Amino acid sequence: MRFISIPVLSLGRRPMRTVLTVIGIAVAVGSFIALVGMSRALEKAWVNSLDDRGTHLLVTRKGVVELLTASIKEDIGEQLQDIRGVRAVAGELVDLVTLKSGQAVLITGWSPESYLWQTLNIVRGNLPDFNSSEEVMLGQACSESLGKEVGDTVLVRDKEFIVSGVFRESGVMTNGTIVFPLNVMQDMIEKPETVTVFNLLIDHPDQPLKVEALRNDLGEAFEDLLFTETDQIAESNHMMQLFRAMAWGTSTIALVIALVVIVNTLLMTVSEQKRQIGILSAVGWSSERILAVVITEGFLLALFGSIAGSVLGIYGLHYLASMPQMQGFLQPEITLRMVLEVCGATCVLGILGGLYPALRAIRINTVDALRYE
Amino acid sequence: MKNVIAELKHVSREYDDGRIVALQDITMQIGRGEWLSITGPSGSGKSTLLHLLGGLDRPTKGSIVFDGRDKISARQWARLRARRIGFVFQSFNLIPSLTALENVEVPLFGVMRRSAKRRQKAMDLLERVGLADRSRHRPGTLSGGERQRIAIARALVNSPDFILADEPTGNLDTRTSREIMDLLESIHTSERTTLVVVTHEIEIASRATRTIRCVDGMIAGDI
Ligand SMILES: Nc1ncnc2c1ncn2[C@@H]1O[C@H](COP(=O)(O)OP(=O)(O)OP(=O)(O)O)[C@@H](O)[C@H]1O
Ligand SMILES: [Mg+2]
Repeated sequence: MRFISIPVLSLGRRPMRTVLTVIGIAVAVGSFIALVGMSRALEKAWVNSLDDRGTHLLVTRKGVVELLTASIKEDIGEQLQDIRGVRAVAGELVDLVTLKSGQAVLITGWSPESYLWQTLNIVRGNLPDFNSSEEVMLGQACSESLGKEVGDTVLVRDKEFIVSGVFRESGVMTNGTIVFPLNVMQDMIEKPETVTVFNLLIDHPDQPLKVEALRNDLGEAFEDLLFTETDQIAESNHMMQLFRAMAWGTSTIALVIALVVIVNTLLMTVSEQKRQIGILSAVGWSSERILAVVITEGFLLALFGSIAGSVLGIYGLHYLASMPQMQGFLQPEITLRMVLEVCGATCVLGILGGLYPALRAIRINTVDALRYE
Repeated sequence: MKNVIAELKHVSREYDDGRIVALQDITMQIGRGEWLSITGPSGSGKSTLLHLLGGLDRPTKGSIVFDGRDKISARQWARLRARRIGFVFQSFNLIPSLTALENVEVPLFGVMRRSAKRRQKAMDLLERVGLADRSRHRPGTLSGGERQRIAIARALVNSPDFILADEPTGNLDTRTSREIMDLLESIHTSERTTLVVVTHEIEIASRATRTIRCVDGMIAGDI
């Protein structure tokens, strides 16, 4: 017999309670993985869509909480273009609209000469006819969820547009959008000569020192604008930060509940198995060894809970991502490292949760314990 | 007495701040290799005395010397129980979820590192008490006499030189009682183990080389 048999048998004596405790821990671990994975997926979706376009620096207005509500004068683009080190500037108007069907769709407007059009992978059809002001392009995910193909019409803000083409991007965010010629969209949402952000291409994007220097120059020249590198965008966005904080907050609470569940179960185990503890003490087991039995029980509960919870969380996130409301907006983003970290943290919680019941166990008077029925 | 293994010096054990006196000012010595029985009416403090001798309980007054060692800490008592002191109880005190063999293995943790060695040693002891064929049985499926023999195997597995038994035959019929006492006595004789047995039965007490009688927490007779 190995040492591990003692805590295993002890947990096995109340199988139902042990299973329920493991389920409790699994739900906590699962919600942690699903929520934090979700927040990471959101960030990744953003970064990917910017990566597809090759954008190096994103220009936004300072002090704006929700990017969609921000506005910058379109002609600032020409001034940006004049700064040394800036290769190309593309203004972009972004908005979220609700279609008749109730679906929310991200719409975006690009000026006809914008380099962004060149970044699109067109799978069917063509770029819109910039002279007609009636044509738009759909991302593939959007085309699928709306059921619209090249030649069909879509109704946006009570105006009909013809789908001139469908494109596919790896960034799930862009994939779900409708792209308008900039002036058409400005008229439609009544924001003339305005854009939401500028995408900048720069001369030396892979030389951090030059990028930093350029950002400084830009920052001095345009005091009310913010210049963010693509991979830091998600981190610096307030909504994203809020979502991340909520994800972490909720899942931390779940883990605290898991800790309470472990302590509760082990306190019951210890008081039920008083006699066994008395026997171990009578045959000469040291306090440390008895302590180790109870702590191992906590560890085992946490271990099984984390394994079950990881499976639960990964399936849960895939389920969330596949919900129709998501329109393929999110790609589940779970790394092995994250799963291992959560499982590791939970096992540490298991050990900590075992500590107090274990200390109670070794304080039991042996003679009393042997009398216990 | 020349060769003393355990000694009580003015030992008292009180409960409830002295309102209940289980043992009162006991001074006595137990010689190495002695076969001592303790008798007396119920509530006279026999079990308390036995628990103190094995460090399961601590005196409220006085001191206990084991093999020349004084002021033994709880940790040291645990170590002594693991290596030198074996306990046998009236109610067997086997762990119900473990098999007979596993129950005998329990005291070997911390003494023998390798699981295979522990198993072998426990098997040897089961053979010695004549229960090798019951090694995979759980205590619940065994008779009282068999359970007590397993408990004795467990008490002996670390080759102790001091065995403390609290009414080891209290739950057994006359014939089984005799078998159990024969077993304990054979160990005493063959290993020169000190044997201390609490008992109500005159027949058992009479087999001992020395008998102590407890009354109201004091020693009323020592023959
Ligand atoms: N935890 C306790 N709290 C209070 N009193 C106790 C406690 N344990 C034992 N006693 C008292 O100490 C006295 C001696 O008890 P002990 O168990 O040693 O008697 P005993 O001689 O073994 O009796 P029996 O033959 O019935 O086993 C009794 O009066 C008992 O009530
Ligand atoms: Mg008693």
